[in-house]
Amino acid sequence: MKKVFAVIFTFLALFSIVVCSAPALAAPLITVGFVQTNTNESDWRTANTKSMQTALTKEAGFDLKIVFGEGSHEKQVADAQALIQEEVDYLVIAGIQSSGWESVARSAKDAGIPLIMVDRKLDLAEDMYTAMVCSDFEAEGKKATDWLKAQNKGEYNIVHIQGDAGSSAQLGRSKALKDAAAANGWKIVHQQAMKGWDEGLATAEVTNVIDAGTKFNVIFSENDNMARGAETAMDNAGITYGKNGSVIVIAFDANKWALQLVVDGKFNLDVECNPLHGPRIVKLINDIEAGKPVDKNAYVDEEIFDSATITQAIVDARPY
Amino acid sequence: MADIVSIIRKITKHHLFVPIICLFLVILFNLIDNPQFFRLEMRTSSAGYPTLFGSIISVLNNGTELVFLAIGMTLVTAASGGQDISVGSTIAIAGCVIMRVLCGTETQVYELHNLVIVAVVLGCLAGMLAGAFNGILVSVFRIQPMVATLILFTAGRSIGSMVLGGNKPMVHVDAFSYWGNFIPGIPIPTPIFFALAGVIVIFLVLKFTNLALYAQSVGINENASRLNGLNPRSVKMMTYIIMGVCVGIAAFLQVSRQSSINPITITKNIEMDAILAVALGGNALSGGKFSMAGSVIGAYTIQALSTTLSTHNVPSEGVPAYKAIIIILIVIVQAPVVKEFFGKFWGNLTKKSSGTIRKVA
Repeated sequence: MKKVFAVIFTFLALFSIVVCSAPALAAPLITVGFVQTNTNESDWRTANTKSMQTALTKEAGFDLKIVFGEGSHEKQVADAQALIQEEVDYLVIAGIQSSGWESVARSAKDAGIPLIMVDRKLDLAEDMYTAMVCSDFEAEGKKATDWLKAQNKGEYNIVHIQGDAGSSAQLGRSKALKDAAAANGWKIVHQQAMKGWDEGLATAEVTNVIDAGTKFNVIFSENDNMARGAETAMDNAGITYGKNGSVIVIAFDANKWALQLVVDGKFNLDVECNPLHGPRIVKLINDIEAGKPVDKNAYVDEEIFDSATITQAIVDARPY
Repeated sequence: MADIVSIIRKITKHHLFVPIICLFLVILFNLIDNPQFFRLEMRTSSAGYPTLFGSIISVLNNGTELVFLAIGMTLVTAASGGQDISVGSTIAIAGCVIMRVLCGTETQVYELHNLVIVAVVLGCLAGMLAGAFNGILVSVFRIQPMVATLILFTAGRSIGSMVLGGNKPMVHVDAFSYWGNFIPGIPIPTPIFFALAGVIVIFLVLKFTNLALYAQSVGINENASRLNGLNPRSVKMMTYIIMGVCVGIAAFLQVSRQSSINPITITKNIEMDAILAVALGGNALSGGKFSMAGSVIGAYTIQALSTTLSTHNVPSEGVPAYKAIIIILIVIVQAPVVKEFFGKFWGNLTKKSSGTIRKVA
């Protein structure tokens, strides 16, 4: 019996040493609560999460806590409130949907926690957040529609595969296409907001469109993965697409693998959406800590990749 | 006259009558409303290969996973008198295992880390493990199948996500996509061959082994079959493990179709279609006697129904509602109360008609 107690006691002692000494060794870290959307959503999201993890390290002076919404806005809100309760130093949010963040913003403000919007702009008044590092999704969409207009197809029958309904990425990109279609007399023969961003959803949707006998010559897919999924459906139906095919495929995000598909002529156009927010967030927080003025509404620079002009060298130089 | 009546009676009493009528109705509807449904066309795909296109091909191709699940579900239903609602989630687990074996921890894979066959075997093993877990809960702990499988139904997709370590791997090897799409030069989608092989194998198994007999007798009366020397536990267990193999194959086809996986959305709600396929096949969901042919026909009927709805431009979020209406009709027609009513009705009708015949004579 004594032995057992001795063993237990030793373990407890060791445990307490480990637990107590860990924080004592490190310098005071800046705790950053990051409310991310989903874990396996898309390659873009994976690159985005990795960028945050590799930039906001303990070595760089940060303690990063990531919570995932996994498709639920309500979970994101609850997680954000919990992080505020934990009194994190900064709250970084990538919202699944752009509306419904007022209560979180108010709690953060009351607690004196700076709120930073990342990737997606939320519907918040200027004074309710500290800064944002976002993509201008409507501008992305506009780049795609300008390019599409320049193709002079004569007739445009567009299948519009929208991203996760209600996210700012979907709203911005969809608005650009809707406006351009109205202005140029393009026909949107099918549009559907997905419940996510992955291949399988798009394959099922485009299979349905093809089964319905709908004729189309443009696929406007709001991310790379769904464009790839749409192409699976077209392969099954023997419909040609891409540079030498009958259907133009437009995708967004410009992951490295997707740019390879642009080079191979499988995507006609890919509009970049930069996921490497980590270093930007680090700079932003360090500036705030140092009391420097920050650019409150910073949009990320983004470009387009056309299968007619892209080179292998561009793809090889791509980090993600 | 009496002969015709008895023949009709025999036909309507046949166990494949209802499933065939259901499939026939879907086909008839398309024949009248949209003959385009039956058109077949040879096209050339983007990759330059011949591709057979048509709604029928679409049904046969996309119904493959459902056929495999219906096979497993029929056996599970027969032996345990309940359904496995975890199949959609266990496909996520098996699919993630397959991708993990092929991709390791990389996200963009241009060279597979292992042979495809190794991945498939391990994927099937993962499916069998999940099946065994369900089987133990059902047979040893005697938990209702729907409650027992609720556990993996809830947890399966997260487990899959954990297997991948939060990655979303993608395979860029053409040969891997052949299994779920086309083998170059063969215009028929590969999954159709899988379905054919699966159906042949299960019919041979049912013909040459005692599986059907054992599953049915355990399902009809567990105690009686135990007294006759059967072990109900191992029979039930066996059916859940076979279900696991079916899940593994369905998962392989799914990941090969996409060369990628999202465990959160893959085969969402497919368990409902699988259970309906069994019901449409004229099988009692309370277990006992079953008809495998009925379930397979049921699976294709459901897929044909889905395709028919999309050919009529029903938006994808509306499909479940339309499906539900049609399913309710079919299930009500098969309900014992309705059957009894029609039986009596039919009986009166035949009595009267034979009466008139006698008078005339």
